[in-house]
Amino acid sequence: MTDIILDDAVWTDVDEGTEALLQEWQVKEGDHVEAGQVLAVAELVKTSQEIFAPSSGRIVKRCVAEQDTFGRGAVLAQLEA
Amino acid sequence: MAASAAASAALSPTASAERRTVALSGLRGAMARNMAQGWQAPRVAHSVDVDLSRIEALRAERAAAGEKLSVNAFVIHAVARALRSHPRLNALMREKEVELIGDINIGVAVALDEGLMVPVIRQADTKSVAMLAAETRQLADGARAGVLTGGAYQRGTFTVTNLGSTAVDRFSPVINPPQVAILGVGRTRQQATVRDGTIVAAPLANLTLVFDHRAVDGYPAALFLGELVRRLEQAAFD
Repeated sequence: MTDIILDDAVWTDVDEGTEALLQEWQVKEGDHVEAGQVLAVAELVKTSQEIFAPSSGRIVKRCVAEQDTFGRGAVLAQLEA
Repeated sequence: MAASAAASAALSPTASAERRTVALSGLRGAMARNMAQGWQAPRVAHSVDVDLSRIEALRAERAAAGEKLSVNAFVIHAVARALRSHPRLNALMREKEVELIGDINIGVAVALDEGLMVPVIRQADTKSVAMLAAETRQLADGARAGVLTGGAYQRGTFTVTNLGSTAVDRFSPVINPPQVAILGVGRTRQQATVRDGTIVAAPLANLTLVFDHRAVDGYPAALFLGELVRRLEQAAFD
């Protein structure tokens, strides 16, 4: 099982405690995805961020709902190889 | 005839049936939330006209040397330095207090098709006009290209918004929360003004300071605006 997170690099220069907003899911639970596929789009302090699948597999669970906010390192979804 | 035909076509049932909407989501949504929050502040607007004759002369001088400096860079320079002696305007509204911020970080409003973006020039009071002009350009280009990082939009302590490139003479902007003040800069236009008892034409621009009256009173805000005018009309620029 792989945890899907928003790439840590985008958080490096934002203030501590800043939250991102999950704008839109582009996959559903149960979907098969390919490595590098865009799974969701989030907004972090006025920047639009895509969340990619690190490997191919099946989306077992979406952990954050659309329009909900999340912090650095939050698990957004779980991927099963 | 053609005009009225076009007008009736625009009002035809087919044309009006196409309902067009702009979703308040993504960047537009973030902007909408900010504006609604900023509008909650009990705000007051102070307005003044500033004579930019000296700034225009300086700009022409620098332009002749191949250096392109915007009016806005001079305004940001003057604002940042004036804020040093008016710390109540360089502050953030917190739950039950107003936090005065040591750093003077100026947000610069940039218009994009997707919405308004406000990247931040950090420690603007330590930078020269040339540095401010370069950084403003770089931030505006970066915001338009969507290549700025999240941190580029954070830690602003005061915002300058400039519609000088448009036909707008004056406007009162909405405060960028949790900041407590914002300056709106109108276009520079040749206007009749009195100098030494004689009516002359001079490049004047309007500055409108909108502030949160919970954090700042009218009189100190007026003093700040007065210092801003004095700096733009008389002070030295590095």
